[in-house]
Amino acid sequence: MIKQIFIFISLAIIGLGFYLALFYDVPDAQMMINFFTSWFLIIIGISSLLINLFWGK
Amino acid sequence: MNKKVIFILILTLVALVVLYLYSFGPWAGVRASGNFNPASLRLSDANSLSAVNKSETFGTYQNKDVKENYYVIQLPRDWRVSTGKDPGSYAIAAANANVQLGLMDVPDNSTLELYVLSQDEPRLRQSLAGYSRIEYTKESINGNEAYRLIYVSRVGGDTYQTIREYIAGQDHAALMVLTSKQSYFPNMQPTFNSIINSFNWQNK
Repeated sequence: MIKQIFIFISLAIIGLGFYLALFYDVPDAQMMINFFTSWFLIIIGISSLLINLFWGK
Repeated sequence: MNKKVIFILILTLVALVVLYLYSFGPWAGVRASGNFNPASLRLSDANSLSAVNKSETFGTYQNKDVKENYYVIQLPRDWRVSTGKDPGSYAIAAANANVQLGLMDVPDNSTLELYVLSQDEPRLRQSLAGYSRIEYTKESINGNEAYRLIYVSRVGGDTYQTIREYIAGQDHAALMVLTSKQSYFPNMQPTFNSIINSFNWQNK
């Protein structure tokens, strides 16, 4: 059960990251912070998904 | 923790460091949204530009700095044209006139007119001494939605009159700021109008 919740949260983080990267309209002055935040979420999301997959194997 | 998890953690750490360097560090310049294109400063052959009138006193510039906002504009040939602060902009030195052309970002949750009236004009009113609006009109420049704000302001005891022309575009809007001393303004206005009316986007 905990593993499934963890996968759901990871996928939600990845989804939020892609939303910020591709669809969110950002003012020019905040492009850099948006780029960093979105890819940070994508990396953390994928990483936690993989860790969840390989944990205990 | 097994070896695979440790490997993923190390990989994540490396990716985050690279991301930081790419966002805020020395590699940040690599991913700029637009770059100054040397071709933007060269006079173009007006024959190929159907929307722009050919003229001996005006030269045609094609700005190709920002991908979604290529534009064409005519400027007097005797004016010294150089690149402005950001890609897509020009800073122009001329006798009795100060002209700046550039691109500006309008948030998707706003319209150009709302942005002009609720953000840009209040900012000007606060930052410029003696700001007073003379005229505000909605118009069409070569089929593009546009707004013209004319105002006076004081700098060092002199009164200056300025036209701020906002032209809606695909990604960014174009902003032209054409200023001269109020006493010279009636002489400069026909030139200013010619510049504004020559503007057109290239990738509409």
